[in-house]
Amino acid sequence: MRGSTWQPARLGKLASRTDDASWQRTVRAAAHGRLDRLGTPTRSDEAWRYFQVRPLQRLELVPATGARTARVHDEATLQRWLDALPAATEDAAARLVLVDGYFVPELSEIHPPVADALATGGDHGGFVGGLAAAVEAGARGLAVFDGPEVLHADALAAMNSMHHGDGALVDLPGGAALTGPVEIVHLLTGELPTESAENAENAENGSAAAQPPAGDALAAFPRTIVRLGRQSEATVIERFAGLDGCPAALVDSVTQLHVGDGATLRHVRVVDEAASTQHIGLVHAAMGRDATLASTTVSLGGAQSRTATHVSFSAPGASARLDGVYVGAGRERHDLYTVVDHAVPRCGSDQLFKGVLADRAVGSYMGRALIKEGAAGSSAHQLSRSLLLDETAVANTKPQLEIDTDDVTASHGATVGALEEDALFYLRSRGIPRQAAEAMLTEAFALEVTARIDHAGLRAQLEARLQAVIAGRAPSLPGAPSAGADAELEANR
Amino acid sequence: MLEIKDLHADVGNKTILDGLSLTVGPGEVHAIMGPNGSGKSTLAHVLSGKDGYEVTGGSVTFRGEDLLELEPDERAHKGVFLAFQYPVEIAGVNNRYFLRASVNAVRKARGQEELSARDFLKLYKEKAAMVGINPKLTDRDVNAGFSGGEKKRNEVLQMALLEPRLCVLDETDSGLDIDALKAVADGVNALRSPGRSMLVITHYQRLLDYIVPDQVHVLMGGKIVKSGDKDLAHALEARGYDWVLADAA
Repeated sequence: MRGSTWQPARLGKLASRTDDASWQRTVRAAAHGRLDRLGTPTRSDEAWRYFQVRPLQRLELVPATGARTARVHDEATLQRWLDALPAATEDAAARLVLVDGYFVPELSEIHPPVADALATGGDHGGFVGGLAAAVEAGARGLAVFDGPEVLHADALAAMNSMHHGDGALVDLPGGAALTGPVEIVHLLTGELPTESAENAENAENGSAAAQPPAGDALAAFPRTIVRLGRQSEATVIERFAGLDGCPAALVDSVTQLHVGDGATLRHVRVVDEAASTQHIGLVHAAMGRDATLASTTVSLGGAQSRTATHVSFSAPGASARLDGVYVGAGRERHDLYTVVDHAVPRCGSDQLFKGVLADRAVGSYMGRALIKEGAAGSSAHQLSRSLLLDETAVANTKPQLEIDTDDVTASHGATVGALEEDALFYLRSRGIPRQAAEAMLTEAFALEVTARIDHAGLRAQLEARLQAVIAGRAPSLPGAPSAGADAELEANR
Repeated sequence: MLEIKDLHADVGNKTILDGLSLTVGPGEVHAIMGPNGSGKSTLAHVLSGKDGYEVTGGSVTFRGEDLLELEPDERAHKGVFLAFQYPVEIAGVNNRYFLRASVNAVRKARGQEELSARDFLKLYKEKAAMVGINPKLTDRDVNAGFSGGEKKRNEVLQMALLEPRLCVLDETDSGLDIDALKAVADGVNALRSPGRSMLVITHYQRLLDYIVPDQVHVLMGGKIVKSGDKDLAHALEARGYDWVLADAA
């Protein structure tokens, strides 16, 4: 079996859960089979070549089970979690809060516009809330987990399915329109569940609290499912954050977006995890006829943060804008990966990815646009730009177009460089000190991505957050680096 | 105000300034003329502190202080202003935001209170009217999509806002038609004052019809080879630069 190098023992084992429904046992078993077959990725897998496996090998990962979140009723803990949540947009239609991948109703809010939007569906009965609750309430079960082929071919998605417990579901009936965003907040505590927690409880009777084995780390497996019916419209924000001092942990997240015929989805994913968190996210968008997706990934924190976004066009006339921006410092790694599958005619994709890297941070963008035979009238554009604030930072960028048909409009480009000396000098000659001038230019560079977000409140919030992150990460040493990029620019046609 | 003594400067390994000396008194306007490659822009950049220019000898004293010791932003704080020959376009930075950051950085360094957004807007509108630039026009990214004339007016607007003591105008006339040239010159003339000196660097005499200098210097081979009053500019226009060398030899 290939790539078994970091398959953590406990994650590779099929753990049956006593409260599993029969469909859940089916899902887990099937996923286990896939994981066995696929093996965990290694650097020889093209899609994972910029991802570092070693930090995961060092952790003995323990899946979150929800036992901890289900047991929590004390106000102090809830308050601690509430305090750690990132601010929501003012006009949010709902805020669904998940802790370690499990929906916490006490922290979540669903406002009246959601009920109005769901009511437009009549009998169809949409749903906005926790995924496990949705499954209990109706016959969704296996159907919602039965994702597209892409999920079946991905080891981390298989791992997510195998250990699934809960998540969020936004299911809007045809014609529904939510103006305020639905916010899904994923908070990571990194606190170990199950045996370790039980050990701690047992130990309360004894002398000292039993310590969990060294190297044990939490793994959370949230699943987010967004289904937009025909001609419906919504903005969905996924935010990933961690408690202060959250210990080393893994988030293995899967997001399924189903954008129905003529529907419009604006999706913003903000990865702002705690410093020691490993974050691996897979987003899949299945696009209906004339559907529209505007997706923005903002990757700001975590020891290593990866977001892979796959877009499948399965009917003509759809369009997808995929944007991303990352800011990395210290020894952080940010890995953004996209695949856009133009399998049918007349669909358009447009990608803008920008990265800012300081210190010894490593950032990567790999984007594949596949225009298959018969996908006439397609357009695919990719632009990747990386800014290195220190000579020790590394940017990898690899936009790729694979075109198997005529009659397409396609472009791609990539740049890696330092701040422009002429611009820096211009600002300084006007009295603006070096650090402020560098921050001003860096912000201008990064904010081009957030400027494309429609929602004004969210845009302002992300701009402020990006500015704060950049201000905290401006190079500390005087002397701006010259362009010295370990850049890889490749293009295949 | 400004005293340059025997200044030598290299770019790469090439000597560009080769013993340049010049004294500019308070309120005086001096023109530096010279053919291409004589060192005019190098002088402007050395005075403003741009990287890539190595001063190998001589001194520059500005109001009694060693100018060469200072960072570019510190020079701006002390009152040195360079109007760029090619103002830089900066995508993503709003021009008004930049101007306010600039004014406040300079005010802060001079021990003055920083301006609120509201107070700045008032000042901005007043100076824009003085310079003859539509304030709405400059509410875009810094110099982005500006015409040649608009860029130069934006430079003069910055000069008006920062109230420098020494203005270095580096080929401000380049790329301007006669109307734009007049408008920019009007803006510069409005800023002439007994406490403000100017160094007008130009290839052509044309600009000096509108910004009339107290003294004209000819820069060739990295040093001043001839100085005179404004009539020297006309002589250069009529006879070219070659006779100056012959004359000096």
